[in-house]
Amino acid sequence: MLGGMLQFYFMSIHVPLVASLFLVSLIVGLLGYIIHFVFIKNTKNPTELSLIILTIGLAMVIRGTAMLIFGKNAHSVGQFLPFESVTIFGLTFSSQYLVVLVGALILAGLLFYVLNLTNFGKVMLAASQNPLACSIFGIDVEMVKSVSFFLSGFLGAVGGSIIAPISFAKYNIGLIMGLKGFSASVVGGFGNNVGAIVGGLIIGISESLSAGYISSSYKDAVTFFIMILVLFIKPSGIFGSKDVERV
Amino acid sequence: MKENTATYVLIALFLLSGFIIKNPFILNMVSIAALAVIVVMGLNLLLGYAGQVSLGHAGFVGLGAYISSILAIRFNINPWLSILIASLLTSVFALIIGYPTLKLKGHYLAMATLAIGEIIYIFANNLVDLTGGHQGLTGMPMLSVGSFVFDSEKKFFFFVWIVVFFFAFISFRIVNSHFGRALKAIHEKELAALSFGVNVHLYKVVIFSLSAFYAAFAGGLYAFYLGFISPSSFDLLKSIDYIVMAFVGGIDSIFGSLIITVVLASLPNIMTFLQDYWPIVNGLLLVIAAMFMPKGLGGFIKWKRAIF
Amino acid sequence: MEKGDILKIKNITKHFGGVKAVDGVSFSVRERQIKALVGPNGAGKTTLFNIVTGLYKADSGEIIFKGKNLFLYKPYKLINLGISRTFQNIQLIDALTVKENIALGLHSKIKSNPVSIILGLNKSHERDVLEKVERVCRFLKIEDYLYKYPNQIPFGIKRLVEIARALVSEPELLLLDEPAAGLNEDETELLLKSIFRIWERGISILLIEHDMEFVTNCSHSIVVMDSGKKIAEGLPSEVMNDYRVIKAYMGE
Ligand SMILES: Nc1ncnc2c1ncn2[C@@H]1O[C@H](COP(=O)(O)OP(=O)(O)O)[C@@H](O)[C@H]1O
Ligand SMILES: [Mg+2]
Repeated sequence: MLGGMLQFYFMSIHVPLVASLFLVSLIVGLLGYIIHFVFIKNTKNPTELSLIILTIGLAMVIRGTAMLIFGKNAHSVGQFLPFESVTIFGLTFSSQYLVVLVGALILAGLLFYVLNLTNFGKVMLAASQNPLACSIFGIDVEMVKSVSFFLSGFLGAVGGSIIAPISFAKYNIGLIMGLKGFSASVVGGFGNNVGAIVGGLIIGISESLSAGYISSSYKDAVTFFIMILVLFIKPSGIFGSKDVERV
Repeated sequence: MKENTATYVLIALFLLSGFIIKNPFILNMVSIAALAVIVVMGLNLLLGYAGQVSLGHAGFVGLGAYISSILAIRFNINPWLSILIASLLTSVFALIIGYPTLKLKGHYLAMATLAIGEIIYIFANNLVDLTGGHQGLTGMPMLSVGSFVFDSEKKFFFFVWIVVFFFAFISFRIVNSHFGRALKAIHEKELAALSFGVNVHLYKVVIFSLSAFYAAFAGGLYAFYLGFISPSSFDLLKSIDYIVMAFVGGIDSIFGSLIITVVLASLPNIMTFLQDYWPIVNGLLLVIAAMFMPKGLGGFIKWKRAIF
Repeated sequence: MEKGDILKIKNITKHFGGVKAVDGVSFSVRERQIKALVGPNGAGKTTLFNIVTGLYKADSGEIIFKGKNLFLYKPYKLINLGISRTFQNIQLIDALTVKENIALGLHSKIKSNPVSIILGLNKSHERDVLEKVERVCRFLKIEDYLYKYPNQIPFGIKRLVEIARALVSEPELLLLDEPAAGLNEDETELLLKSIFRIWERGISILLIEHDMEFVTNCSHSIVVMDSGKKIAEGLPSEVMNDYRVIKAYMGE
């Protein structure tokens, strides 16, 4: 949500596209870092419950502040490419879809590279699985966490700003988009790159189909319904390992 | 003093205040707050004893409100009976949702209930024939017992606080039973609870379903009291309001939540000029509570405990 | 099944990611025997306990308790079969008094339904529970702490409260995970006596312990684990002289 809002803001004050994209992701990434540094690290006796409550609280603060600053209306954000629409194989669609597609592929590739092929990625995975052992081996787990928060803010903002020309930017779209992302992860299976992409596609396509065949008012309901269905049938998702299930 | 005694005294004081307060605006406000108290007491059971969050409790309130209203309007079913049916249906619905999600580690329930809340909201908005869409639904009959009709703010005020008493009574009975003991064990040391014969999954599902019952019952009363419901009373922000009330009041403190809920449910009506700032205030309250007082305000009160 | 074995652990294996925490371990506990499971930190002892009590699923192998395959039972059913346990890192519930913590051990024995809970018809049950809790507390000499909370009692007493909680359901097999860890000499002495008195009541005991001396003082038979594998089994005197055991303890 912030990604889209800030993109709208920077473009409305005529910051060049690439620069604003960069600024937006940097700002939100830093915000992620601050959230970890200021709030999560200083929470007394953190439990799973208190951390999720904290997260909900922060989301409300950000959302409320965005509403005060940018108002309650949806803002349209200009398309990134100079031409309105593209035609491929006789299908015509807004050029921004191309941007989103390419952007998503680049981000997915980049993430895959960082997590699986760089040293830092391996450290991140190790720190999430066994923080104690890592700290014994001299890895600064807190630093790794901070960077993860930066990265997740950064990626979220890039996503938010490139989708903004299609979805509009509004103060309250964040949670629902986040929930859709969560739905895609559930459907595809957590912790699995292929799963995330396939899950995203399934969610996206079923959304479009239900908008076309049922009614666009119900498209979100269909998405969420699919997620709940998957939780019933195969909670680990299509490609997921069994890690999510209880011992 | 024990917490249950203190709570009953507090409820009695609210009842007595009904004799003094003449202003229908205030009576109405505190009655609506009392309905929120019922929802929050249910949510407390979930937060404080199953350690889980529901982001869709307003949806359950809405489900109770819509189902009971539709039963009464369309099928001419007695309002009391329709509230009961709606609450039971809602808790069965919660049972079905809770069964798969509460088996999983992490906060699947939070996400699933967020989704359910949205789905309920979408349906309330779009099933126009049944729900009246965003224009809302009217035409429910007034609640009555024999020829006694709950047709004034004052009558409903007394009635709703008696209902609050009943729900508080049920909550205390549960919390102070061996079932409550097992729930506390689940919240703190789940694997230990499992080893001592507690069917952890079943208990979580039951408590979630029960908390949905509380919510739906309050929703039903809300619908018949106001005679008008619309989707905006049951949206995500309302769900978050309930979480704020429950968490700031104290996740396992019925007494604390009762006070905080009445305060937080009433304030926005008194300070309407702050309307746009409520989400931020709510958010800040959650942040502060989560960071510095995970047991909420109620956690600061030391009660004398029951022998068992 | 060999006659006289109350618990048979057969060829249990368990991985965590790349770590083989338990690797093909087999041994038995005989009725009315105190068996000790020893080995250095990380040997897989606790993991094995968790598999026996159903908290972890084994990758392969079988566990037979009194002729029943334990893997067919849900973890919360095991206490009714007659198995109960304590935990290495104490798992008392902070929000409950000592008495309530111990009463938790009787949870599965209390029959009730929602109506009886709401109407408060469980009083007679609670009286029975109370009686049993008090009896076990007198047995372990911790009756002074009944109404204290876990954070108000000394560490050694916490260990005894854990044992009381496991004992109150009158199990046939008691699993103790490092009961002496963190205790001072007097407390260890008291614990040792308590373990013998429990055994005298006919309860079989499988206990994990780090301290070899403690183990040789109190057990009939010892199993030694290292890096997930069983490396020795036998009488305390035999095992103590085993070259591989010494090596495992010294570290290579
Ligand atoms: N839940 C778990 N997840 C990952 N690894 C674990 C888990 N439990 C135990 N282990 C690993 O299994 C090995 C054996 O641990 P444990 O059974 O606790 O040893 P012991 O009780 O003999 O000291 C260790 O390497 C430990 O890190
Ligand atoms: Mg251990």
